[in-house]
Amino acid sequence: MIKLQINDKEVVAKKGESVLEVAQRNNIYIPTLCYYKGLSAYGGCRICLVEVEGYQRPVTACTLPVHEGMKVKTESQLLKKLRRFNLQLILSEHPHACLICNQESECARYQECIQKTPITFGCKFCPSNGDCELQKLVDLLEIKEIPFTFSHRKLEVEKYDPFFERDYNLCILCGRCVRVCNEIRGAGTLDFHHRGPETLVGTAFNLPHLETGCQFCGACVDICPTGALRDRYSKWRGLQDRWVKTSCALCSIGCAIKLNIREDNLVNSAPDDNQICVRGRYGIVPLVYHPKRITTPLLKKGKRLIQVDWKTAMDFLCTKLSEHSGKTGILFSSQLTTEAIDAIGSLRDNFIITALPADNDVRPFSFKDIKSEAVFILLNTDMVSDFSPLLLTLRSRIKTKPIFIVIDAMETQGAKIADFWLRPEPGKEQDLLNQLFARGKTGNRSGVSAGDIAWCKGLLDNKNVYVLYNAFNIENIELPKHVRALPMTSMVNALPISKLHLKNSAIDLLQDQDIDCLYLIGTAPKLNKKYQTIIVQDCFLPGFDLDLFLPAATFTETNGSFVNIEGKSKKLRKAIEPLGYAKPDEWIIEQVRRDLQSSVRTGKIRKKRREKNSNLSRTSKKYPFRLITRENCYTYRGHTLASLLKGFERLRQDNHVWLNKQTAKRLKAHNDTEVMVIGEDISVLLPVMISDQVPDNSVFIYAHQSLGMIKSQPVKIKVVKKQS
Amino acid sequence: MMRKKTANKESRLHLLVCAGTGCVANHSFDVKEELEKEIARQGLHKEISVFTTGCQGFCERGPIVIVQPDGIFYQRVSKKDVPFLVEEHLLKGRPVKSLMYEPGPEKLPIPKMNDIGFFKHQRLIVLRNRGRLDPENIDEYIGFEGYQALEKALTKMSPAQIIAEVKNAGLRGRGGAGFRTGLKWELCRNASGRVKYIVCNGDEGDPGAFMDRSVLEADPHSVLEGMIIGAKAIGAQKGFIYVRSEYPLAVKRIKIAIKQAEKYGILGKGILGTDFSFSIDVIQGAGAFVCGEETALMASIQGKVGRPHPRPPYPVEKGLWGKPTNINNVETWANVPMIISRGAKWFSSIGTKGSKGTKIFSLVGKINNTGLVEVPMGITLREVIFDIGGGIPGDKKFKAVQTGGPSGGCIPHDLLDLPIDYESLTEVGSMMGSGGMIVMDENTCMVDVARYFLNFTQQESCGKCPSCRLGTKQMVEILDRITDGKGHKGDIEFLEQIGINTKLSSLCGLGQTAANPVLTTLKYFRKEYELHIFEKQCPALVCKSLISFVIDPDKCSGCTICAKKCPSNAINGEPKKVHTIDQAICIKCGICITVCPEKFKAVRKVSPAVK
Amino acid sequence: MKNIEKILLRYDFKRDNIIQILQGIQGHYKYLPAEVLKYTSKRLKMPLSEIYSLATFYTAFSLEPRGKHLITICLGTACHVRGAPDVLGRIEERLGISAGSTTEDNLFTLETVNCLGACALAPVVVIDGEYYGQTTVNKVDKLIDQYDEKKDSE
Repeated sequence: MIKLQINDKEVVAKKGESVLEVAQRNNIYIPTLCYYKGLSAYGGCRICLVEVEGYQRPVTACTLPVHEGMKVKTESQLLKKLRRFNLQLILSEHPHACLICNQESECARYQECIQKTPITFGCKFCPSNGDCELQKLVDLLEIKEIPFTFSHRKLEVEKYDPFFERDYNLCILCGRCVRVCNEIRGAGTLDFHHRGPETLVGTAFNLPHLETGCQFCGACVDICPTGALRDRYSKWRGLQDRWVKTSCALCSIGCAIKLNIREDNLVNSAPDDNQICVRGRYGIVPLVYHPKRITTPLLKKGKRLIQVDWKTAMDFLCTKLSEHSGKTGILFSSQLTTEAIDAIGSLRDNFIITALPADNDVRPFSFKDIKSEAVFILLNTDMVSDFSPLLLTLRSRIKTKPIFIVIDAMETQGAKIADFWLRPEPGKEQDLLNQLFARGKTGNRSGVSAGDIAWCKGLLDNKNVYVLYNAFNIENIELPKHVRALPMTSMVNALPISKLHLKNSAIDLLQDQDIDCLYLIGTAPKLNKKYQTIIVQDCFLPGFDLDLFLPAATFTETNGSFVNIEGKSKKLRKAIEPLGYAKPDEWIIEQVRRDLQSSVRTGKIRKKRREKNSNLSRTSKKYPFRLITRENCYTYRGHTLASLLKGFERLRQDNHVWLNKQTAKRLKAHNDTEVMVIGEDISVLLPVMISDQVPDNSVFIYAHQSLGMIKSQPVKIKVVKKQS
Repeated sequence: MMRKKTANKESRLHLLVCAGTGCVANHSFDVKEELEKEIARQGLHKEISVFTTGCQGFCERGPIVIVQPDGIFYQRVSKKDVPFLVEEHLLKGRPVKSLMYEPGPEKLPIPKMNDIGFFKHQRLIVLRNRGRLDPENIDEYIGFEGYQALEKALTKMSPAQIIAEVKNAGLRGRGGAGFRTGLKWELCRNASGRVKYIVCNGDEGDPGAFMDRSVLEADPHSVLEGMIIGAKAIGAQKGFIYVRSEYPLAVKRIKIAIKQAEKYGILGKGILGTDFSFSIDVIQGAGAFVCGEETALMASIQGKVGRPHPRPPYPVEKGLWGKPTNINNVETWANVPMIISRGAKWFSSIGTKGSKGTKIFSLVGKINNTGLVEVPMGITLREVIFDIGGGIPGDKKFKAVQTGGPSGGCIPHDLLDLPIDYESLTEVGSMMGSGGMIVMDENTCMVDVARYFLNFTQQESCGKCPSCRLGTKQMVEILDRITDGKGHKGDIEFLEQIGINTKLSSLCGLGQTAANPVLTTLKYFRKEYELHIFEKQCPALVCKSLISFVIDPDKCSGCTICAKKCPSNAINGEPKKVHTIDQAICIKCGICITVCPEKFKAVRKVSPAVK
Repeated sequence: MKNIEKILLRYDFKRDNIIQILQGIQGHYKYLPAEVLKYTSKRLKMPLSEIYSLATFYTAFSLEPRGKHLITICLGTACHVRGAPDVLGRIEERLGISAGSTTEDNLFTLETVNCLGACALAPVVVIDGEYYGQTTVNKVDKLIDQYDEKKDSE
């Protein structure tokens, strides 16, 4: 314990703490700008200067370690003068037209819309107006004038990248974005460059964020004290006046988030004192208010879909369900609330129900159980792109820094920053695992060099080894007893679905020839046959014709919960009323149950013989390429985020088939060439995207239900000639 | 690769050719080759040997050749002088007067080195081996009692004793701040942790200063010896020498020295047979003045950008990779061997009460004898500038001397009798700094000097804190206006305000001292600023916007030379008729003044500018 | 890329040695090509933005290819008081470029430096490593001619 005095008040501190931390803990206010809890102290803004007895000049409190007997003063004339000096200098480079204007209150009557001016030259035209730390400091330090000559950097606003834009004319070089990107997120996209008066923050060579490994997590936007970094979508929606804490249901982690609201409209979604990812940050609100969102029941009349009321819709629904009794299948998304799923479960006597996706290999685990001295082997799962908040948790919660080994035939983002990357031939992952855990020498069956395997074996010695594997693709994984296998999937509600003990799989349902009626709740799979009646309960129209559309509420518009990958129940809180006539899934199911006639009974479908996963590595003359598939973790209900939101389309490119330059040369294909990918049980037409992530003689497709139930297998590729 | 000695023990004469950067630039290697050729041609090679040595310090007069044992000093020796020199002096025994140093026009040449004012008044401790040894040959260093202090320190003294000796000697950091070296070592020694580092700061960035360069080029082993002794005292296992990238010769020489020392068991495992092990790496800078600051230097060694970090914590507690690190300047390290071998009492007998020992200064600017001088602390500025420096060229008047580089200040004529030491220089508003001493005459504009330094600081600012990055920018803007004739009332007061605030709130030494040139020139030369602002006049005739070039009609003979040479055709006049300069076109390049024949001297500068 | 592997190996593939690695790369290629930096970033598992940050912070590094002849003029204090700014002005006029750029024919790159430590030779101009002292506005033209004439004879 260290004793010191701050403003003549005796306080205690631990060794290694800074004066600022101690002051904040004792509710003694010291103004700050570049300081942010959790980041390393920078000491650059000079606002938190304090006077210490015996020191020649004031020192920054954020970097000053405490020592016994220190006497610190946080307020004085000198400190006020110097704080003002530094803030005024900062403002001499930051457009401050409204900040010190004495007509500000008068001007409120002539409110201009920020959409009308392309350049931010004052608070009124800045999206962060009202949410800016400079405004707060100017008030606090009572700054009425800026005696310095003003200079504008005259930089163009960076608008090329999706999700957020960057106006470095407003940047005050506090470095918070740099520190959060490097220290907390580990993405390393942002840094300072150049020096002195030319110093700027940005990416290497000013390359777009899309090309420099940016995860678009939005951490930099959240931490920026000014309007330099701002969301593009929400900047038009105004400043929030309240928020609701809830969970993000877009993947199996279920991060806690805040939904910011202004006058009963969602403004944006933001972290809740944690780290989230691009889905939770930029995928939620634009989905809710998407122009293609359907919020009224639709009924097919002739060739058109017409809007009807709920009563009409439900009447039609119940009529059809009776008609097709014994021949109706319900295919529901796992991405519903647990309550909705339970409700659907209660219909099992009336309908054939299956889930999509459905995972039979559920092993919930708690990250608290992970021991230190851990080595994580990430098998065919890109944690950086798909589960980054979980990756950060693993890194920070475990006492000794864990080692990450990536096993993936694809050169994913995760592979690039892993401690070690092993690249087996596609399909030879189990062989590689056998080699890694075997004793003594093993052959070179997986395509990875013996040297690399030996090196990794060394890394595994005396460590707790956890294999996080892509459960989507790998059904059986053989590992020695001391190694824990944890399936990674973005599928939500795995536990409640497994408790339903569903007898049939989605593949079974979609391939059964006897089913006449399909009731899709939150799913939009590729259909293999014609159905007499198709009912869709979702937020967006699928890509096929249907007979009845029931508008569902998103998870922001309903209370409820869902179960995450750890088996924990995550709470959902209703932030706004459902848009239009949309209703929560539970409500709709409840209506069905209520109005259902007792004569409606479930039927039986033939279980398709479970084919073993075809051996991906057994290419043949007929099928000379290897199709690698991975779970597409960027989905909401039946749709990929990319199919609905332009930003995600640019980020993900998951509506293409990826192949590298070598394969492209072999096929004589270029970017956007249309090709047919044909295998034993798949046939799909997609445009090409050339990516160096893909190994030679292989192609990659993000598996999504809209493409069919595709799995990794040998394929052939046919280039489709364009009709001129 | 060690150079082969061409020494012949029976030589009756040794010729020492200076191979410091300055002389090398003036082709001293060619002179040496020519000497060897000519001596061989004359058949004298068995009795006369030629060597190269490190910088002699008198760079103004290079290439320099010294004939020992007589101590005859030849300066400005060129290749074509060699045959005559060899024939006259070496063969016939008649020293060549035309190559000797002349203290002034119509004054007798001085043959002997030690009689020349420049050398007579110096006291060489750090530069003791200057000019007498080949820096790429460790044997010569050892021959001049090199590494004996190390032996004493390792075998006869304990670390505590070594530290006590350095403390009692009163050695203070020669890099600029003047912190007590012995105390620093002690703090580092006492810091917790087994792993410790020492660093030699050779990032001499002050423009006009080249002391560290000379020491590293001329006597690298003196620095190594000091470092090894320091490492033993502190308990460090590894050392780094950080040298600016602009000093390729220094880097080369120190690397050679390290290799040789390793070969002789003076560096590496088990030094001199004891159980003390220590190794040194050389790190080259990459062009950032701010890396001379301790925390920025350490960041640079660790592969980061040179952005300083606030102190405390200090490097002696938490330095490289979080370990206690002791950083000292090149000159500081080079003082250590002498302190150990001759004792603290001896060292503290030189200098003043607060500043012991000697200091090397680079005497440059408007001075006759430009070069490197080592003088005891306490010597007056007047002695350095006039006795050693030989006064101002062209009989111009002394105006000010700038010490401490961009962190220091200008000292005016009235303070010429100031004894040089850390405290006295700080009291008058300047500082010792690394040792740059720039002499200025009546044709140096103090406002321009302030602007120059502030411009420098602006460029070299790392950009982290607004106080420095933007404070200096604002000051530069004001000074730009003033020198451009656009100054107005209130500028001086505003400059002072910004200067003081920048001083107090900047993060590191660069920002904290950036305003010094402005503040001191305002203190001593305020009138000059006021003339610039209110009268639009530059008395030193430097600031282009405030001067005009005019032709004196009484002196102009119409020779047309200036009109022909003028690059912008601004001079009109017919042959044999008085010429005039068109002020609207004149770009003030100054060519006309330099080409107007001596006998006429018709072109002159006037201020305020002619409308 | 073999050359880069050699340089990386010489410095043990350590991130701490990045500045020396960049110096090695610049020594070989005479500047820092973007592709080489990207490769280095990948091999060292070091963010490209950090490498770019270093390359733009330290003035010894150049991201642009340099001209055949590198002209460096010292603007240190001693050189300044002895007229270096005028000499710089003359060179800029003669070559038609400002300091920090390369001529269009890629023959000359002009850079400034803040003190080479050769103050006794002020003002100092260095061309391709050769030091030229006591330069003046007049002398500098002849100096550049020396290198320019080489171009004609090629």
